[in-house]
Amino acid sequence: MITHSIPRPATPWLLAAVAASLVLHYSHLPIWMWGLAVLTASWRWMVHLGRWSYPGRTLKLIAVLLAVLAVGSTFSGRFSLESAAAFLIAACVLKLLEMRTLRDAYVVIFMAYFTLATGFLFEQELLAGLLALFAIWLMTSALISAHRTSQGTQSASQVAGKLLLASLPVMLLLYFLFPRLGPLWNVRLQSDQARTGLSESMAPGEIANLSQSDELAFRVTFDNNQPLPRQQLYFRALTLDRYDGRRWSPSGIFTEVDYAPNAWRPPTDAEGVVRYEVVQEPTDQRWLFALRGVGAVEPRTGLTGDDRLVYRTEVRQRIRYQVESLPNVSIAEQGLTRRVWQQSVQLPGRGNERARQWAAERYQGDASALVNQILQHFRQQPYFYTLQPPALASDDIDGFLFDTRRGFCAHYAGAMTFMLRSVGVPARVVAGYQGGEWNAEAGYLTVRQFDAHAWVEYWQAGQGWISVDPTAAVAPERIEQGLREALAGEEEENFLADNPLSPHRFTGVGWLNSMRMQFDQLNFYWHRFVLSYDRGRQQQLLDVWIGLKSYKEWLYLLASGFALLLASGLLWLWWQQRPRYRNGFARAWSELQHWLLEQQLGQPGSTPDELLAQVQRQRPDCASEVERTRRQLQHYVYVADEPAGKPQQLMARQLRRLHRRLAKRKSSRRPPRS
Amino acid sequence: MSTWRQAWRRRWQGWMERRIPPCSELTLGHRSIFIFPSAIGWLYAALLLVMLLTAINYQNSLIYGMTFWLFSVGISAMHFSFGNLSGLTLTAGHALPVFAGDTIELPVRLRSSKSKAHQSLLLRYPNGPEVVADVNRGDESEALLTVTTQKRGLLNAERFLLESRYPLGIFRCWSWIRLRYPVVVYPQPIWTPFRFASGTDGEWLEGASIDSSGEQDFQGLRSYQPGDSLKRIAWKQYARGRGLVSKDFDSDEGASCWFDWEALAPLDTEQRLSHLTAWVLKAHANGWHYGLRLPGKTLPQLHSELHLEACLKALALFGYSEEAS
Repeated sequence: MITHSIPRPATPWLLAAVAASLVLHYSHLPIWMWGLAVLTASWRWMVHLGRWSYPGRTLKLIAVLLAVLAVGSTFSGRFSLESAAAFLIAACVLKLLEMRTLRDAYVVIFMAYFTLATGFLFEQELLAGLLALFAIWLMTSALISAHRTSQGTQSASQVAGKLLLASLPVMLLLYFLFPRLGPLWNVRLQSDQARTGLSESMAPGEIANLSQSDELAFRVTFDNNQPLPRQQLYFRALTLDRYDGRRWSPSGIFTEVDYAPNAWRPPTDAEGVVRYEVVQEPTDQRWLFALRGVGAVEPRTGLTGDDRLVYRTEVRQRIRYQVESLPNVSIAEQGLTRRVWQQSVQLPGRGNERARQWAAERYQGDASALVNQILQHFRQQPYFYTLQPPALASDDIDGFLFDTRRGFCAHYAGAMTFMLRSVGVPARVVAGYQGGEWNAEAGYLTVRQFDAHAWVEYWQAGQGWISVDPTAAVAPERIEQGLREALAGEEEENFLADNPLSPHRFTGVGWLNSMRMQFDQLNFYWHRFVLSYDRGRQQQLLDVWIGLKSYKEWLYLLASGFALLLASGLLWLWWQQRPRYRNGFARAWSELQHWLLEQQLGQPGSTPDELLAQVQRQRPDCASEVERTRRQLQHYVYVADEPAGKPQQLMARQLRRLHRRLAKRKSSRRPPRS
Repeated sequence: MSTWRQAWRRRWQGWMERRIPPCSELTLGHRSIFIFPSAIGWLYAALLLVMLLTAINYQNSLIYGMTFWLFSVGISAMHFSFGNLSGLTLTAGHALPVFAGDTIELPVRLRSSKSKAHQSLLLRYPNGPEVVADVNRGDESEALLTVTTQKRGLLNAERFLLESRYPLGIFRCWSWIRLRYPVVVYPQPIWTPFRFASGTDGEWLEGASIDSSGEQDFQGLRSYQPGDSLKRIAWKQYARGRGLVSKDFDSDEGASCWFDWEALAPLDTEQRLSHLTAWVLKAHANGWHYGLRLPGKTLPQLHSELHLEACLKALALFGYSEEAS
């Protein structure tokens, strides 16, 4: 069976299935792999057409060796998700060269299934889902066509479609109810592709690089369905409180985390609590995105000492979490610990002397007054907001403040923090995202990488930490409208310069923009309801819909559900198997015949007449009754012209009477000799 | 070991006999269909397990979804696989008798019911070749199974296997079916020189030489009978005006003989039957009138196809109860 050759109609399906399994890997496959796939598939196709023959052993061996070497050198020997997938795919496409028997076809299709599944580690968008749907259908068709001995009236793809549709209900049930476990082991192959997004430390100009990316960072829905004003949409991710003369980075003094439900939450009666939900793309970092005054609500999320929300582990998959914030809350207004104070005024001993001097001249003991002076300065002097500030060597804060006066948000935030610290005001740079695009129809905010931003927090006795955004003084459009508007004019072409086809460059074209918004909306639902369905969501769902609090209860329910399913299946089988008779006569005869054969009063396979004759021989005590029945039966079958009416009833009655007679006498009689 | 295996085999066969009794027509249903994952099915399960582990470890909803989908496709495939056999009606076709040791062709008629198609069916006897069949919706088809007969008598064919792995190959769905063929297997003919038992006492072929070596020995003349070959007409006699006269040879069509069970006295039953079968065939080919004497049964001297069939059948069923015929 398994060594049979592959049916001819199956070969095109098999080749198509393998091709379809590669689509989700488009972003990371090296170009030579596509060449290899095309080569092996065409070779196999020529074999199918009978023009070429299968490659010889030596050639296959060389191909395998070359592929191994190529994968090894492309990924320089690193063992990552990408190199593992490339190995798998190379094996899959090379297997095409020796796909002769049904066994090979199985191996190829199963590898194609797995290749497709691993593709989801790289692509998860709605479009990827649709492509995968198509691929699964192709693969199932291939599997079916490998088992057909004739064309039949339905094509393999029709049967596959039916099969897949029929499987949907069970699939959905399992999808929602199958227990979502945590990762079974921690050693996971990770992708070696760098993620776009905020990085741990920030040199001026690095955030500007993010403006080249229109990748999604996260999406937010607000509980009251109303967005906050743009000026308040400051999503904090990191505080950078160490300066080494060049870069700002986190000092790492806020390592303690209070996890929900033991963490602080805004009081329920507080004025101005914002409740929202974030669906966040993977960052490979632990930080989450939240507004100021954040409280931890969601399990596995926690608070740090610098008012940030973090996750228990690195966020390697898309996650969804609830947050509550009280943006107007006072933070640390009582005072700072010695350690935090010291870290918040830390500066290198030397450098940027002009900036220090500038601050010292203006500082009169009131931090807020100095802040206002700095903002005033930025506003009144010819400072420019630009994506391409001139490069500066040493003392870059001085260079930016007094010479070039051109910078991106990080320059302004860094310079301001530096000046505040130089006069002993605790201050830090905050990195995160600001603004975003509001989709009014579906009511959600989309924040992309180019919305990355940096601003300042300084501490004042009695008021605690206060946020201030120097960029707002230089380019208020950036805050009120967004980066694209802030760059209007000659700078506009620098927006997403590496991404010439990005739809975000064409927001001015009405129909294009509305199409983009519609598609984004679909993707949002996809992310929110399909992709981010995890253990927590599952528990919530079970809680809300079925009212289950614990996993144990739920397991009981699942088990009893399966038992019920099984029982109803058996019941259905029994119902299907029950004998069905045309009429009363057929039923009576069938029962009598069955009984007679069981009692060995007759030979199986006899005609009714023969059977009754045999009974007559074996049971002389009932001979006359049997004889009467036999006559009536002959009359009924051959003479009576209305078999459905009264004769039928009479016949059935007679058969039942005979049955009773034979059974009754049986008990008072010796067992038959046979 | 082998006795244990035999005992097990007997039990199994007895169970099968009760579960799917032999009959001349069988509609496959829950009682007669067996289903179990094939080797490929286990491989498929392994694939799903690997996919599930990937999904769990990477917490990937889409891989979860795909795994569950393929799992439920597997479950559906089980139903499709079962449905592909269930409702199929198999009927024993008309088989022609053969001699023991020969291969008999047993036609199986396959009829679809409930307007359902039955695809990719494989039928074979345990040691026979495989036959592929498909039945379209509301249609009929026929599969010609071949099996080598072992012994004479009423054909007692083993169970044949009906198998299908449609649609995905991950489930093997099968049934062992025994259809009754009312066909007789004649004894294997083994040639030995004729020993005639003719008349009341003699070992003679009436009107033929003793050693029927096949030589056409001239016996004499007899009057012409319609149907005599033109070559045998004695034209010289005709020319002399003596009317139509035929020459009579030893292996003449008009010859008659008796084949007697007792003539093969020292041999055992099966050998005797084999020799008698060979004689009957030869005598029929020679055009003789032959009769057969078996213990308890005597067939008169005749020559016809029906007579040949009756003789062969008597030889085939010799020793079996009348009931079975």
